[in-house]
Amino acid sequence: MDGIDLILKLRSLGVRAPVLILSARRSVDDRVRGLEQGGDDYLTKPFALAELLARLRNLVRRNTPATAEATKLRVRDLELDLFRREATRAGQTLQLTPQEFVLLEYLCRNVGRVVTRSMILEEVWGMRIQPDTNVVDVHIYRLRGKVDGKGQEPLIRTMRGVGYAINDK
Amino acid sequence: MPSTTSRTSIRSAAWRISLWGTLAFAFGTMFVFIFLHSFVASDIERRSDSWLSGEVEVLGDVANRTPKDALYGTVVEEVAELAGKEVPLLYRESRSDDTVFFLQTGSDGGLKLWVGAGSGLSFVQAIRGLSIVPDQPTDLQVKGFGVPYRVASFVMNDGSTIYLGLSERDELRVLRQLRVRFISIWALLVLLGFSIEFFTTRRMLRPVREINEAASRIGHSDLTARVPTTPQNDEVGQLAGTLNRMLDRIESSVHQLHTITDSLAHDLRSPLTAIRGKLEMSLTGATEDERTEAIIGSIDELDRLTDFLNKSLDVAEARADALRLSPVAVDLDELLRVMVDLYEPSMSEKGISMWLRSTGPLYVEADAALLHRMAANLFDNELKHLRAGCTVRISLSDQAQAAMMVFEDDGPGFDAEVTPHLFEDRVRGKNSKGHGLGLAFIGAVARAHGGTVSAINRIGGGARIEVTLPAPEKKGVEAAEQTAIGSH
Repeated sequence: MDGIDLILKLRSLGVRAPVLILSARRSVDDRVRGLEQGGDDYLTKPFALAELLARLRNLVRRNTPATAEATKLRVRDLELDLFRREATRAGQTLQLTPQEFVLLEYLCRNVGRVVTRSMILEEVWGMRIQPDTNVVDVHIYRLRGKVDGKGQEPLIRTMRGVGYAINDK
Repeated sequence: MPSTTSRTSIRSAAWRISLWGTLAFAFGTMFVFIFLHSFVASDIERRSDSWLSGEVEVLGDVANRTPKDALYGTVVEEVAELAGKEVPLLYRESRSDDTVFFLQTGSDGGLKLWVGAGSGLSFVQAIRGLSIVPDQPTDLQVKGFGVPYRVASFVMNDGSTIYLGLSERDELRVLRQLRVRFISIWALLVLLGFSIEFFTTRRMLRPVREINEAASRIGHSDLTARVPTTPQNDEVGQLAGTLNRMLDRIESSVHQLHTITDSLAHDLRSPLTAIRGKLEMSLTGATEDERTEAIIGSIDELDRLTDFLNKSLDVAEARADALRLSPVAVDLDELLRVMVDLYEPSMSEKGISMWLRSTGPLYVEADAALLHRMAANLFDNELKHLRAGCTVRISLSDQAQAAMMVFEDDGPGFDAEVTPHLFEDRVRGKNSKGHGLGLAFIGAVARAHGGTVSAINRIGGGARIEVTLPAPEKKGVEAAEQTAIGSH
């Protein structure tokens, strides 16, 4: 019995829990097959632990009833107005491009958790790509220049070898 | 081993073909002969019958006219004897005393006159047991004579009957001669035909045997060997040609596979060594920072390694036409804008300026994920190879049948020596730090979508990469526009 058989078996027994497939098979065919046969997400080995955790959270969130969307996000003295697409830090309005705002919003929604570069690319730019170059790092570097001003405590932290995180403490 | 050889030759196709061919020939000719034989037999019988009927009538006539006096017997016997000498015989040597007999019986069935061998009593006996119709010659088997007689009869006015008989010895001899000669010639012909057919087929099938031997040799060990070809362009010659072409293809594929695995192993070894070294350092590092640094370095190396493996497999998959496309309408204009947005900070950080010229939304039917990765490769390629102060010009245009993306820069261009092989795996310029997979992947994706890709050095310096993707049919474009409006 392989993993897909197991999913089919579980589904036929009426188990509705979301399923994340972890597999070393990475061809498009395998992925499509896995998702068509009842898997909810597909992650190929090897993967970063942070990415696995993020995907699991996504699955759990997708399967819990939606709560009313907050219109504001607050991390320490950083405040994001999701409705007006404005960010302020310590009362100062930050001059962010729309893309930078989305990036900051994504980091804030995952406050206290590490997000990997590929997660950022997928969530902010909507692409499952793996650039050879440090494009994401440059975006973060610029964002950090705007968010973490002089004399302020740095919010955006680099988790070397893994990704980035915003700490609320 | 002789036993093995004979068994193989019995099982061989040549043996079976000649056996069945000869059998068909033998039966056919035998059938014709049987027909011929019966024709000859009936013809001889018809001839002797007509002689018998004519002669018995003449004799009857003579006997009727001859007065029944003392000389009657002598006269009739004389006439009968004369007639007997005119028998139509095919073989002179079949004539003997018992060739012809003449017999007259009285109305009571008793013997009246006899001309022939012996006393004639056994003939009277034989005739009594037989109902003979006048004018209708019949076969008669007489005791003491091995060969039957053909007998015709004539009833005279006084109630007595005249019988004239002719031995069938001559006829049987003719037919036997015919059979003996035919059978011997027939046997000779069949034997000769069989051997000619057997050896010809064997000769014709020899190349097949040689091909078989060569193929089994190739199957066991030597992939560079080829099956022998014949100068004739017949079926067997064509088979050999086809096999050799197939072997060429297989050999080159296997060779390619060897090259790929070799270089893959080579490319994996260095990062694996680096990771191992860094992990060892993390165990022996003097300070906490050193140890952490080593572990982080290992993770980076592992990420690069994973990325390299994925790219290699992608290219191999695309090369083998194993990409499963799930085409959707993709707006190339939007795709390039997002990409420019993504890469712009990195480019300007490095001092490269980037321009995008596009005439508005341009849809193609393509696999979105693959197209994203292809575009990322194109941008990565520029970012990696350009120096500060360079400019990248990206243009998107709607050609008649295709959408065309052009990336032009004023950088160093491609190394002259790799230019002819740009879209092959692991081809990289002297100063490139990449794996040489980027352009190979771009080419593979474009071709998988039915598009083309070309890369040249511009005359004024710099590189120009041109990617075309086939435009969908008009109906598809409208549908794509509707989806686009719906999704906004």
